[in-house]
Amino acid sequence: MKEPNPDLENLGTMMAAGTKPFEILLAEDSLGDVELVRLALKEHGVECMLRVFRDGGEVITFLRSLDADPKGPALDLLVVDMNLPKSSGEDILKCLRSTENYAQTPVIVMSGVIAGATDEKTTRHAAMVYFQKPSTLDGFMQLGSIVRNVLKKQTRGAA
Amino acid sequence: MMSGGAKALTAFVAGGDLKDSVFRELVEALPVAIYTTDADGRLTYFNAAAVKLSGRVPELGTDKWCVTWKIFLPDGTLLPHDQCPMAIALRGAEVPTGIECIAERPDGSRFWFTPCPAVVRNAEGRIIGGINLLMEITDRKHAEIEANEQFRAIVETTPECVKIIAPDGTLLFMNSPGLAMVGASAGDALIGRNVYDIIALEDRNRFREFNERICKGEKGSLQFDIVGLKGARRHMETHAAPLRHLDGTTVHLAVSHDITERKRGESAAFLLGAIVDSSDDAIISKSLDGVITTWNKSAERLFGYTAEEAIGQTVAALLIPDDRQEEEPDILAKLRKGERVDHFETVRRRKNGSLIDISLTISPVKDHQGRIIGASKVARDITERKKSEKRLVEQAQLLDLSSDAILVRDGHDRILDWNRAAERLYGFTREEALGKISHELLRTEFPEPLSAIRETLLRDGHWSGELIHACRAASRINTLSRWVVERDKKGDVIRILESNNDITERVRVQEEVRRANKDLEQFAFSATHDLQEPLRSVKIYSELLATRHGDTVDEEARKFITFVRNGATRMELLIRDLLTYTQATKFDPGSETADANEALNGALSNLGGAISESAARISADSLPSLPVHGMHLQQVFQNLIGNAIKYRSPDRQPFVHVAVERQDGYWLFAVSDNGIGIDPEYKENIFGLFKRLHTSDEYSGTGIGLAICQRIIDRYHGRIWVESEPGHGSIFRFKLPA
Repeated sequence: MKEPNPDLENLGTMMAAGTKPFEILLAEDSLGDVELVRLALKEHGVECMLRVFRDGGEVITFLRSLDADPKGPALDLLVVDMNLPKSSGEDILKCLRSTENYAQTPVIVMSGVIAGATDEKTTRHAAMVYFQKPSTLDGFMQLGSIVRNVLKKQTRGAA
Repeated sequence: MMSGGAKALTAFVAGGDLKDSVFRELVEALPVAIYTTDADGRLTYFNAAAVKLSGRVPELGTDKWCVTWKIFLPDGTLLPHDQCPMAIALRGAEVPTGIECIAERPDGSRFWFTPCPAVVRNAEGRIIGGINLLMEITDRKHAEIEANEQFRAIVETTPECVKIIAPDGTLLFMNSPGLAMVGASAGDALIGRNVYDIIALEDRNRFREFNERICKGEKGSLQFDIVGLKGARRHMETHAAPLRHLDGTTVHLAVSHDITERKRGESAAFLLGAIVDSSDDAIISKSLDGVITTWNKSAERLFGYTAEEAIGQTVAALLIPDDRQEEEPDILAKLRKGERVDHFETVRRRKNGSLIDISLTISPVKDHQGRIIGASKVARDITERKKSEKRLVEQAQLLDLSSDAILVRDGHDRILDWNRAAERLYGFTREEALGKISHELLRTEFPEPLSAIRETLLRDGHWSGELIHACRAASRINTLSRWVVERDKKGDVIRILESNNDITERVRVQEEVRRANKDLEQFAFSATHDLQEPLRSVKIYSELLATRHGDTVDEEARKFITFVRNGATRMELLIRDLLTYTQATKFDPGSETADANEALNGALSNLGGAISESAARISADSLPSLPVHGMHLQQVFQNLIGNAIKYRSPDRQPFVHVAVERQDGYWLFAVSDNGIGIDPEYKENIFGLFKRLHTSDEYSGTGIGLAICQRIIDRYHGRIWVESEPGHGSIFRFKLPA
């Protein structure tokens, strides 16, 4: 579906060299969208551990316990839908920024088709990428490319 | 004459033989006092008349100069004997004739006399003696004095100005009323001054000529103005005659009358007459037996009779209709008692037989002694007022049937009438309300200052607006109030008709609707927003089905998947347009001004794809700025131009033009195209929500676009409509307040 991308090769090489897969946390209550995120990641060849939470409260509990555990696993990216049950995407962002070990973790914020008011909130929290869920398949699959770009920067930064 | 006699006597004295002379008898018998003296003045002879006159017997050879005891001048000063006329004559001096003196007798009585002294000379011309005749003039003198006194009394008691003027204008005499007229006080010494100085400048020459004519012997009268010493101007009328003065010249004697008041009275009477004639009211006077004596112009207009026709006729015969004849005796009886008839409303008959409603005010007229001699009568035409009163009563009766509360107020907002609905609405009875100031009774809350309302009312003749009133039960109610002012012919406010409709419930419902609308807007916004999410899933998964599993399902399943996808796409459009539709009322009208050129450019930029795809040519007039929200105007343009392109004719290049013109307080826009046009049958329908004239297979669309336009334009109290010739094109016109 997509043109071969040189980055993909690099990533593959990196993974082939025994690098650990990326840890991605997905906070999304719509199962349909969870599936679409998986498809998008797969489409763009992102090898990762995808932890899925369907409500905001769970995400916050998880983030806190993670931060409390010195041997806790790495967290490479948060993909958060703004509109979640219990705690909103905004609460999750706040929580993340307040952690000791994960405050710098990159975030992709997703929102519905008509976002409007949420724009402002997300920029205030300086989320790295903002993704408005498109209503076409092609559009949605672009998320995979965005994730890969974010992770690539992360890898380079780490290297 | 006297001197003639004296000469004879001188001869007689000179004869020296007086004692024996035949003259002696004669002289003794003369009733005139005669005496003689020697050259030194010593008395040498006196006759009996001299004794009688002087009241004493003089001593011959001792008494000198005169037989009298004491001599006084007319002014009362004592004249010593050695200075009496005889003494003067004996000293050789000329003694004027006609000297008048007063002598006092030893008994104190006095008499007037005229001396006629003469000297006797010898042949050498030396004075050897004198003779004197004393003519008593007491009676004449008394008569003269009396006449003088009388004249003075007359002159001083007359209220007229009496004056004597010399030919050169010198004032020789003026009585005290005259001095008072010219404003002179005792110290002003006007007499001796030139009288021309007090004549008003414009009359001075005329007066001088008049004076000179009189002084030449003419008689005459003259009216002239004087300016008194204190500056007061008076109007004088003078009657003058020539008078021979003591010194022989002819002077001007005049009696002048101050006619200032008369003149003023004349002009006041003239003014009064003019007022009476210019009055709109008929002003008539009549005698106590009802005979018309005066008749002004308005009476002619009002009743149709001329003054000639009316004067001399009785009011009863001329004006009073048969069925009201009994009024006149009552009126006349009242007048005789000195009573007044005030604003008596009745009916009178015109010359042409028609009847008029009039209001009569009749007052007794008294002469200067206070006797009632007649009546003045002011008749006012109240036909119009009566008509309007009647009309008003009819209106009030009619309006009693309506549910509106009707108040009739005078120019000072006092309640004159109060209908049944007002009683029901406010809880105040008619009796309670009458005479009260309406705004105080109802504790009215006005939407704008009362002064502004009044201004509108007087300017336009009516006003309407929403008021808040308090009822008797203290509850507040909303009313829709309509005020109409009623004026008389002159334009003065007679009364104000106020009609109040209870809209409390309506205001409450309106408020509810407004709130509900707001809720609904909020709901629609949320709903459309939330609907998008599941729809997105439907869309994407139907797409996934088609692309990834299209090969594994049969033809029919693929067709179904297409239907799902088309349905979802259409629903997405619907939701988007519905959202726009609900947003159309988001902004308050009047809060912003938009440049229509910018709004059009925004719309064209959004339509960029459709325009280039259809190769449409879009043109526009230079557009104005107007008080609407720019986003709203853009949506209207976008929908109308979008439609023009969408419904283009397949046979020709689409052409769209946006025109605008100013019309009254509006901007009238026209978006015309050369598209397929619209059947006139549907030209009303197309603005309805979800109204479509084509299937979505022919032309895509939600049927919301024009509804959005309509809703936006309604928002600004504008109007949108379409004119079209099917097959040739359409013109969508809309107007918005400028």
